[in-house]
Amino acid sequence: MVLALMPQFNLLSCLLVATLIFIIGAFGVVCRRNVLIMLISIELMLNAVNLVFASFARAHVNLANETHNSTAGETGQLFALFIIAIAAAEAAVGLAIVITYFRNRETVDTRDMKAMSQ
Amino acid sequence: MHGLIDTLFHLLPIGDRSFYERSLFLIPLFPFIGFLLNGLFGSKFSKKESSWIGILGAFAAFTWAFLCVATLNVGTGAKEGMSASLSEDTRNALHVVYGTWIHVGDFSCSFGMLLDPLSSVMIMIVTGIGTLIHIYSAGYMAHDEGLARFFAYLNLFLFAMILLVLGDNLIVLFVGWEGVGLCSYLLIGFWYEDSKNAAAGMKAFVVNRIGDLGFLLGIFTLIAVFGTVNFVASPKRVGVHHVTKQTCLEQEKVEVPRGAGLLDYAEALRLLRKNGNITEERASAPLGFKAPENISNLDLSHTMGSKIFTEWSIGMALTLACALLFVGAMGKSAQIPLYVWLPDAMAGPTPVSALIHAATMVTAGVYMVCRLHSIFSLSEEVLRMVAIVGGCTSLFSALIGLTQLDIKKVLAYSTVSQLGYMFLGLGVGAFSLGIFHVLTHAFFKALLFLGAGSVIHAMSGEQDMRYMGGLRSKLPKTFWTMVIGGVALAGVPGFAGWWSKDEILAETLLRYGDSHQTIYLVLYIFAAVGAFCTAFYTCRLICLTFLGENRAKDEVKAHIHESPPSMTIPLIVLAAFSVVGGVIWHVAFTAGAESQLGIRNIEAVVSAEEHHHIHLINTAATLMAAFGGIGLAFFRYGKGKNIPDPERAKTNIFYRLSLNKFYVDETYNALIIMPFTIISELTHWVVDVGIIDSIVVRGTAKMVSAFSGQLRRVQTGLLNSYASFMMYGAAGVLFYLLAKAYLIK
Repeated sequence: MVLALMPQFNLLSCLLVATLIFIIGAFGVVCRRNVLIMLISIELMLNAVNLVFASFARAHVNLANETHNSTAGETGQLFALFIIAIAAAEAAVGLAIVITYFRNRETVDTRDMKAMSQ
Repeated sequence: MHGLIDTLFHLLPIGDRSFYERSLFLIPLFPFIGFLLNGLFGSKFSKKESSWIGILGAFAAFTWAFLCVATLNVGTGAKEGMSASLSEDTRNALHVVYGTWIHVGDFSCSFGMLLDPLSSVMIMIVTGIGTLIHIYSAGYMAHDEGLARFFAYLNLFLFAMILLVLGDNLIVLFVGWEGVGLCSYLLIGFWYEDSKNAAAGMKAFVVNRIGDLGFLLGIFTLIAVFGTVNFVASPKRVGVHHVTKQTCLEQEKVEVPRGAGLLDYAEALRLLRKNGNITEERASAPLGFKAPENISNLDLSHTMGSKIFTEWSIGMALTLACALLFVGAMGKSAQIPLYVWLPDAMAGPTPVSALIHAATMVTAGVYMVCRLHSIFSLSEEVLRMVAIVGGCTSLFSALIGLTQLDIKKVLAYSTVSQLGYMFLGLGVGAFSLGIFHVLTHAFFKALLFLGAGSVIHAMSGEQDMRYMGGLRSKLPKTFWTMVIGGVALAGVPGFAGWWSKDEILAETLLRYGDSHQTIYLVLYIFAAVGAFCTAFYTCRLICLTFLGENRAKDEVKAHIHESPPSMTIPLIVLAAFSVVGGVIWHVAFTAGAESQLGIRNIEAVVSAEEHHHIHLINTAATLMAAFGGIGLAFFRYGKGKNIPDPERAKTNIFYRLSLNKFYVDETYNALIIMPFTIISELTHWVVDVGIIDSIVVRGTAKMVSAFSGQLRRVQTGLLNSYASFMMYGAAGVLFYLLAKAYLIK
């Protein structure tokens, strides 16, 4: 039932969504001044990549069903898991840095982070 | 006399030839140590200590040189007892080679020292008079702040001069040659706070450079012809050490030693020419000449000259080399046209004028020509040129000396003139007489300069003779010693200067009698008139300085005092030698030139009767010149009359020419210096400032700065912009890869 309600898997639309999320993330990194928002944007970009991995894994599984290859699609799913773990670690480290910085400078605005260029 | 000297020799620790031979380097080392001590730690010593270090450096060199020279002479004495052939086979010299210095391709040059009779004469002059002048300087410079620097320079000068004299090849000689030039420059500009002194130093240096260029080119030419710069064969080689003539199978064969030096080659060429083996040398002996085996083992085929100048003969190349070497001598020994630096060099302290610009350094040119006299003998043209330059200089600068007002300038022009006599002597082939005049001139001219220094010291620095006079009673020691120096310079018979100058004049006339070339007669007349002028200006100097009334200002008058003993003792010693220096040594330089000095003069061939006549004429002429000059000057200036007045120059053209030094400096200025300055200014403004500075140097800088000014804007320091650059970069790489994968196939 539920499966029937779900739309047919379509690789192209998945990739389009992933691209959209990636561009939103990149835009956030480049244009936002708040470091926290930038970190969130980086998470967005990572998840966009995750989506790409997962979509291709699914596409490969569909392809494997036709060719009776049982192991197809495992690599993509594994990578998605890795990226989730790394993203968590990165978020932890990044947040720690941002908090320490905030404690010292009372700001997280990138416009104020110019100590090296002065 | 000789017995006494011999006894003295046996009392001293001398005789071990090889010991003194090996330790020849000590002679220059002593003053060098003095230079280092005073030069590096001068500020830590008191004035007295500095003076003592300087004097001891010179005195130790003198002592060691004396022992070496004594050993050299004792050695000859011992050898004279042996068979004649043996003493002929061995050169009487202490010769040591300390090692190879420069080695390039086929050419190699060693660092060695050679003490033969010729260099022993010079070394005794240099160290002996050097020591006296060091002692004098301790008194003369006692109140000067730069005393340590002064003694450092003086010791460095002695070091360089000893190197020049003792060097066993032309390169070592050249190092010393340049070293004395440097010290001369440093000491002329010793009181550099006055820009005039510094300029005089620079003038001396620049004019000397012109000569030095000629000297260097001359050395190069000799290397091209002979492939060596050594004077004589190295002492370490086995076998014969100098050129010998052997008779084998009724044919005379000229044997050249292995590793022969310049003088050996010259001697071999002379013998071959004399034997008639090279008859028309100019035409038949090309560069790279190899003698046929039956006449000689002379082989110059390995030298580079034959490969470069294929058309040249040895005679032409030697003429060129000698002419170039003589240009070097003209610069160093202040001959026309390069004499202009010497009068200006009087800006230095007076002991420097006495030591460097009268007694030693300026005679280096004479020494060099004498050292290479066997090469110069091969080129008649160059010798004639030497004689002409010397003769003209002797008269020309004597004429300038007639009217100078500055006591040191008179002596300076006198020095130039006397150097002219030395070169006249060399030019007429009487090489030993040139060196003899160096010796006697060193005594009396050093004496006169030191006396003048004593006068200047007493007059609180006044050098103008118009404001002197009447010093006879106040400076008796200075007066009497200067009178002795004066009569020696003027050529009064019996005193040192007469012995050498008279002989040189006689040789000039003999050369005329031999060759009947008018030029030698003209030169003789020049030299005789020059001798008259010499006597005149010398007597004028003494009269204006010491006789008549004192014309000094009152505050100067109050300070006039005789100089301290450290200054008068050198004067007395030099005065003693100015009296006896000629008579005790003249035999060694005339009849004994070849046997005692190893100098082979070119004998003028005249009949005995003619010889007698020429000597008679010459004696009459020189006596007339000496006493005529002295008498005329005494008549004019003796009673404190006729004080020189530059106003007279307005009416008397000869007086004006002489007073203004014949406008030579002005001529040089107009002909050489002015065009040079204009060209330099032009290139400075157009090329240097216009092109190089503004376009090349500043243009590059401006371009870089403009470009980097733009590039700098990239470095915002904003995190976001760096992130965006990363993004652009990543996108760029991606597009590149995609394009590579799909578009370009």
